[in-house]
Amino acid sequence: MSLKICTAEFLISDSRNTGFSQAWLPQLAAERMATSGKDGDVVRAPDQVPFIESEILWTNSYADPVHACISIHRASRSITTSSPNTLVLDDAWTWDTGLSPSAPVPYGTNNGVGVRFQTRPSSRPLIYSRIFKDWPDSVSYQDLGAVDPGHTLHFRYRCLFSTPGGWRTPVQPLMIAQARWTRLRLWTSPWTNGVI
Amino acid sequence: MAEVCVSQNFSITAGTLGIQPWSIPRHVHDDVYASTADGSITSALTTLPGRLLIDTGVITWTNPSPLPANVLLRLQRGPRNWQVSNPNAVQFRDRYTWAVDEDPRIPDTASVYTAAEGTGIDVGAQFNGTPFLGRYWEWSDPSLCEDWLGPVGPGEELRLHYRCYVWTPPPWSNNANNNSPEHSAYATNVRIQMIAFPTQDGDMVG
Repeated sequence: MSLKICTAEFLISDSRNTGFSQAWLPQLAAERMATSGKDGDVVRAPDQVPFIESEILWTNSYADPVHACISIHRASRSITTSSPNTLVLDDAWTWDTGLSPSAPVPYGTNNGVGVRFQTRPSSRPLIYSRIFKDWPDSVSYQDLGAVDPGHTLHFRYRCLFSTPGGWRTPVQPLMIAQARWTRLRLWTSPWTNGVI
Repeated sequence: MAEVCVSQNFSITAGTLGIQPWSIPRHVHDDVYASTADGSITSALTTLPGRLLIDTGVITWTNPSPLPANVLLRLQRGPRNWQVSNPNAVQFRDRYTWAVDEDPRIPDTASVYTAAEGTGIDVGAQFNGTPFLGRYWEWSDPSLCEDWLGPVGPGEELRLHYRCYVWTPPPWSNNANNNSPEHSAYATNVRIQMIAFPTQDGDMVG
């Protein structure tokens, strides 16, 4: 039988013992994996087409504020294209925190992978030309700031396919985009005075 | 007499209250493993898994604490570069496997693998069947792969094995780049970090 003592934030004490509260321990708080619904042959897409959509809703049920951070793990991606068409897979994310958060729909460019392979000047007829590209998986971190007790974090992610620039019908066209999957991991650590 | 007990993330030594080292995230492994077979590719590697570039062997970590631990695995692939000639392809494939208290399976990349990286170009052939001139070089950034391993119980051993191969996805032309084939693959190295994370003492009721 242990004496229950008075504790400040990030500590707990009861009749069994005294220790760190769960909120003190840096930890993986939530995890979500989403697979691509559109991998395969692609056509012209001047506007971005979502291949993967994912979100995390997480409520801080602890008695203390936590510092939230998310890792975005993108799978190994592959693109095959034919001269002269550009294929791009971009990643975009948004977040909001509060009592009833609502993150906006993510859009964005210049955050992903893409390929263009042109083998003749634009003024001349196309010739048969294909390129096959694979990228390894990669992880990006996004700091999300404090989440107060009782508050909820809403994080949204999308992988967006598009074909920027000109588009012509290639000689024996072969155009394939594979985003495969993205895994979101929400990490928490204690939010203490002085944290930026 | 009233006593105050503490969780296993704390210690009381000779009446002095302390914090145990396993109560915070800490590096428990950090090492760089170099590629041993970087260089030119002078003949087809069309049979999987291909040429072995990096083999870490089995890396182990034993959890010394009385509490279970989860481990953040970080695989940092070094900068790679490769060269390929029309109409062939060069592709790196890598994979890690892990297990607790037993040996993980050999990370063969023939069917299941963690990631692929590489390029193929095909700009066709001349009337006599010889592929047109065409070469491609790439120098890529390092990349980071992470995974959350565990839980590793007290006294248990986490074992990890990583390999990186290069192969040339078929078909393969011996007279690529107009009878002047040039192919190479450099994986440089991989840095493997393991960061053990604390867990709550299950005896805590809250």
